[in-house]
Amino acid sequence: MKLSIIIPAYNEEKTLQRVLESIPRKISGINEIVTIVVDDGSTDRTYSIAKSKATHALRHAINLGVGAATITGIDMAKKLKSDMVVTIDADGQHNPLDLPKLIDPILAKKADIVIGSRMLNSNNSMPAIKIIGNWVMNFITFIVFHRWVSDSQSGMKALSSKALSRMKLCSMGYEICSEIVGDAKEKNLKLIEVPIETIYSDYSKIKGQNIFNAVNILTRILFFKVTGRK
Amino acid sequence: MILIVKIFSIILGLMVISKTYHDFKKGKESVTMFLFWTIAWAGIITISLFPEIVSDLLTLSQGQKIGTGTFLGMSIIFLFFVIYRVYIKADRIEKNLTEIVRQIATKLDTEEKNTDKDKITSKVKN
Repeated sequence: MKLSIIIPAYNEEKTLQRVLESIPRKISGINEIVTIVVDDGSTDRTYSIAKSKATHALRHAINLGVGAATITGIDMAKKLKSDMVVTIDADGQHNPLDLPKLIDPILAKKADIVIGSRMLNSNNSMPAIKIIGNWVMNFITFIVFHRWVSDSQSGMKALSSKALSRMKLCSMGYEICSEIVGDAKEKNLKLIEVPIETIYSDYSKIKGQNIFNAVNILTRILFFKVTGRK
Repeated sequence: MILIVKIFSIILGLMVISKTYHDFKKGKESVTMFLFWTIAWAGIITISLFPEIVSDLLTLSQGQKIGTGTFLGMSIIFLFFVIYRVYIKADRIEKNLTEIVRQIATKLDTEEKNTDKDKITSKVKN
């Protein structure tokens, strides 16, 4: 069983090395772990860190967006014939020790897509503004794709090879999270959520989405929905 | 109200004209495009200052008049068509650009990995 861990990164020199070093070397049920960092046109040392610490370091010549970087990572994982992929953020807000929680349901064939939900965690310390933004995004995702998830914008997700082969993702930005939820429903893929820990530092609070992204994301997913363009 | 519209269109028009001139001076825009946008926005400013021009223009040669509502409706339809075309083009360019960037990223990594493999193989042989 080959697992590819995809880390889209944009100007993450402060945290990327720590994130890569904290990924467990062995995970039960997994024979091979591959780390794929997709540097999305960073202007700092992100790429050189990725080159020295990750199994594969891919570099976008220009900044395209987190969605595009994730898809590049997925393409690479497919090329490497991975049996599943997990995406995690490069800002250090995810705890790599949560990886088995996401992988196990796929190994047990109980799910094709597992979303690590920050909202299901009882010790959730998400700032109020992010909770509101997240709820708005969940609502938009529900209205457009008719599927309710507690954390539609989570960057920590696991996808099985079945999900990878069926899904046709095309989002450039943060709307990829909602697109995955929508595609799962459209392609009859089993999606579940598991609680994950979130490590909020001053750095990770600044990084990530802000509430105003909702307008952008709404426009994009509505466009996909109405036109069916992929 | 009319005064606000006039001021607004003058400010907007001058902004566009100065931007297109700036781009033209820097060589980012061709002389044709510079002239096109300058004439177009100069026209818009003129119409906003003298709206009666529109009424004169709407009078057909036989003395018949097209209603202002009809004219506005046609303008909106035309503008939406232009927006649609621009959006489709921008979307296509974005997709192509993404594909190129993605392919280069994957290719570079694969080539680098192959070079590393070759180095290891030659070291082992030596």
